[in-house]
This record gives sequence, structure tokens and C-alpha cells, in this order.
Amino acid sequence: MKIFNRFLLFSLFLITSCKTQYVATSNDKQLYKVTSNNQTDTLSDIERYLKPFRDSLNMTMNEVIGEAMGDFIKEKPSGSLGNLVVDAMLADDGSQMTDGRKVSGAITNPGGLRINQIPKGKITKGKIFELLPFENELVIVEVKGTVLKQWMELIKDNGGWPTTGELISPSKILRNYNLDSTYYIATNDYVANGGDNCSFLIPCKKHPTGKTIRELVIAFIKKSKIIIPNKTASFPQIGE
Amino acid sequence: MQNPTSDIRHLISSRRSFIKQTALATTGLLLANNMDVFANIEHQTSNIELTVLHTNDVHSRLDPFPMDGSKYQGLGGVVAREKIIRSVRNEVDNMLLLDAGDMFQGTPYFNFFKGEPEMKVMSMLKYDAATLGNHDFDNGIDGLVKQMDYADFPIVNCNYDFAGTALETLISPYTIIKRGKLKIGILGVGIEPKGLIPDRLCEGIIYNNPIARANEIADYLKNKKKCDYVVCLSHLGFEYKDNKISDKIFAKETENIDMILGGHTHTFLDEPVMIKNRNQQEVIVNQVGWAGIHLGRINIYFDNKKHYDYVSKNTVIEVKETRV
Repeated sequence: MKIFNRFLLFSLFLITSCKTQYVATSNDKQLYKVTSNNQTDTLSDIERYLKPFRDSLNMTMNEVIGEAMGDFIKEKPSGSLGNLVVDAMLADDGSQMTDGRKVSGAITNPGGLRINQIPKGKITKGKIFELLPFENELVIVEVKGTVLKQWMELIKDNGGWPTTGELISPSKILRNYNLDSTYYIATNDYVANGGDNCSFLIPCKKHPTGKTIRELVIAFIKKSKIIIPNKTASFPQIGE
Repeated sequence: MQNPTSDIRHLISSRRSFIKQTALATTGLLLANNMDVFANIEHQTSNIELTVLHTNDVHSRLDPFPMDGSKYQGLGGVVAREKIIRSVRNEVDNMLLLDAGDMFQGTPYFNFFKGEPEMKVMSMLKYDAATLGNHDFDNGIDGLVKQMDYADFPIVNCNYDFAGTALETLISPYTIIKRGKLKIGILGVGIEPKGLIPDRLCEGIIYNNPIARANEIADYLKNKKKCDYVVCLSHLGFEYKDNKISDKIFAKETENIDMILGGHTHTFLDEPVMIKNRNQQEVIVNQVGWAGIHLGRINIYFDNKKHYDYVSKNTVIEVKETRV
């Protein structure tokens, strides 16, 4: 018996060597059988346990909020998925402070985007929860030109972050800002509080907005209805 | 003491190259030939065998990826994983099921239920041990403490000092598990929280150097507790461009650890990597991507003197099912 098992393993190794050892394909029928009435094997325990959780999530998460006209991809230095997020960060409240001061741009950390793709087709609310699972809030940080330069250097060293704005670039350090001036940059509270090695932002003044990046992206897609992947972020022209 | 002799090594390496050659040869191999190969191996190796199954960075992926045309559609899911685990359990005598952290965060399950289904399902799958990833702190120390009620398995970490926090009594540096005639020590190491986990979520936890701490604990497990095999669950990450401590560096600078099962960098390795430790002994290092797409499997054979022999190769099991 043992030899036979070894033989099986070995055969699988031969077939799939260097790739995967075996591919276990359970089909729909088996799975649905488990969730229906005949729950005789242990398999059904987990499915039976999970089903109420899943059903309650599906009620809200399956809502279609818009449609992607192409695949949105996470890429460095700049990709359509990251651009969608930074554009959404500035789309509504993000572009202007409550006192009317202008926001110069938006930056988010690539580690905050938790899936690599939103495929072409209908977009569910659940998909945006997968993309942005964290309860991260949009905050506006006040940064001196010197700090912005430091931030740009980090972004460049990381191979690019999703950014939008006239003064910032996903992969270059631009020279057209004044090191002594103050700029207002929209980002998430994780980064603003020093996350992803942004400790230089810790002492900066922050203006919380009370909105999560996720709700802003959901609102942006709902409002747009149709979204088109764009490899370059479109910075909204403020005041026009 | 626990290391294979050079003779055994030699046998193994020639056997491995033979297997490779066989694999390169025609696929029309006669069954009888294969049986011979294995009868031979059966004779040379021992009767004690340990099978380690492992996951990392499952990130609340309880369901398979939806069938929406994306890269991983239909892959993963705990129901499919359970099937494979169960079939392996039936096939082998000594099995361990381990996880290298970041069990939490990534699907609405975590946003709405805070980790309860993740922990409960891992308990139902009968995980033997897990370590903590940075995202397991996403609801803070108190958030994690609440979910530990649902974990029927030990969570190990030896380089975070939890003294004075609510986790102090809930997390131990190591655990020892007996399987048949084998005694296996399992320790855990975690990544530096600074700049990664917001301070308010891990307040009071002191980060210690994982190399120094792991060396202390592994020495204790191997030499004092006489464990036959020592596994380190790591959430350090497989490798980095700079000299930040990773599994590759950790493996080189530690001793008394036989296997490192890693996480954090979501690295999909096709097979485990062998790295020489600071005593020039080989350590098996593996990581299986993320989201429960793969389940790693490593077999270790021990001889009658309990010296472990080697490891059957590779071992990624792809968990796949289709669901709309």
C-alpha cells in the first residue's frame, strides 16, 4: 500500500515536475451537493458553518456598482488600477480642503491595493472590498517642499506608487516645486501616520476627512457608471 | 547529532539525480520499473515519515476567487483545501498542518466578522500551529485576543515580547508536537512592526531580533527538549533587495532549525529552497504565495535512529475548484 502511494506521488511528480504536484479539481456538483441536503461527510461541516456568513455578506457585496470597460491592472510605476484609486481620492472632497485651499495631488501606497486586477465587466461592491480591505481614511497632509521631495525619493526607490497631481510623479522626482512652500497632499491615514516607511510624515499636520478610501472609490464608480482603464492618472483640474 | 551522514547524503543525491533523469526520460515508463525504483527507496530509507502541509498569507480567503475572469478565478477556498488535507491525512501516518501568518484581512469576511470565521475554519481544518503576520493585528491587540477564543491551535512567536499586553498568556514562543515516534518543535518569528503596523494596533509589544531569539529557542528545542525536528514559522518575508532580515538571511544565521515555512512577501515558490545555516547544514525554506491558492507539502523521511533523511521534492498542491 505504501509503495503504491509512493508510486502515485511519483507519477504525479513525473507528470507535473517543476510545476505543481497535483491539481485537485472538485467540481460544482460536489460542492453544491455539500450545501444542499445530503451532508454526510465531514466536508459539509465547514461549508455548513460558512454558509450563513457568506449569505449575509452576499446580500450587500454582490451589488453591482458600475462597469469596467477593460481590465484594470496594478503595475509599477503606474497602472490603471492605482490610477483609479488616486483619481477617486481627489474626485470629490479630496480635491479641496474645507477652507477652500487647493490640494496638490494624491498619493497612495501600492501595498494598500490588495488585488492585482479588476477584470473587464461588472464591478461588485465586494470587489472594491477585496481591492481596499483596510478601513483607511483619506487625510490631507500638509507637507513642506523638502518633505515632498523626501516622499518622492522613497516612491522612486520603491519603483513607483499610484499618484496623481501636477507636482508629483509615480516614478520621477520633479523639480518644479518649491522646497520652502507648503503643499496639501491627499493620502491614506496609514501612510500619513508613518506607514510604509513614511516616518517623515509623522510630524506633518493632518486634516482628516472622515471618509475611507474605499467608500470614495465606490462612490466614484457609482457616479461614473462606466470606468475606462487609464495608464496615466487624470488629475482633475481644480477651479475649472 | 540529528544530521544525515555523508553516506546517506550521497545516496540521496544520486537517487535524486536518478529520479530527475527518469523524469526527463520518456513518459511511457513501465510501471514495473517504477515499482523497482520505489522498492529500492523503501529499502534504503526508513519507516518513519513526516508530512508537513502548510499555508501562508491566506488573508481571509475562505471562498475561492470568484469566476470573473481574473487571474486566480476558481482557485483557493477552504472547502477545496479541506478535501486535500483530508486525503493526505488518510494517506500518511504523521502529518502536521501549519500556517505562517496573515490569516486575516483581504475579504469582506474580515471587515464584517473580524476574524471569527477564519480562526474557526482553521480549527475545523485541525491546524497544528500558526504564527502571527502583521495583518493579524489589523483590529489591534484586543481584536486579535477576541478571535483567539476560536483558535483551537497554538499561535507561536518568540521575538515579540508581549509582556504586559493582553496577548501575554495567549501566545507562546514555541510548541512541541508529538507524531508517532517523532517529537517536533515549532517556533515562530515575526516581522519588525515599526513602519508596518500602526503603533496604536500593537501598543506595548516589543520587537526583538528574530535571529537571536530563534537561536535561543531552537537550541532549547533541539538540545534540551531533544526534538527530532525543528520547524520555524516565519513572517519575515522570503527576500528583499536590501539587507532587511528575510528568510534567506535568517536561514543562514541560525542553527538547530531544520525547516523554515515563510510568509509576508506572497512569494510563490515552485519548490522549497535549500539554504546552508551557520553550521553549514541545509535548511529547507518554503513559501506558497498567498490566499490559499497553493498548499505546500514536504515529506521528511527519518531513519531508524531518528536521523532524518531527506525530503521528497517539491510540492505544491494546487487547490482548485470551480464555483460561480
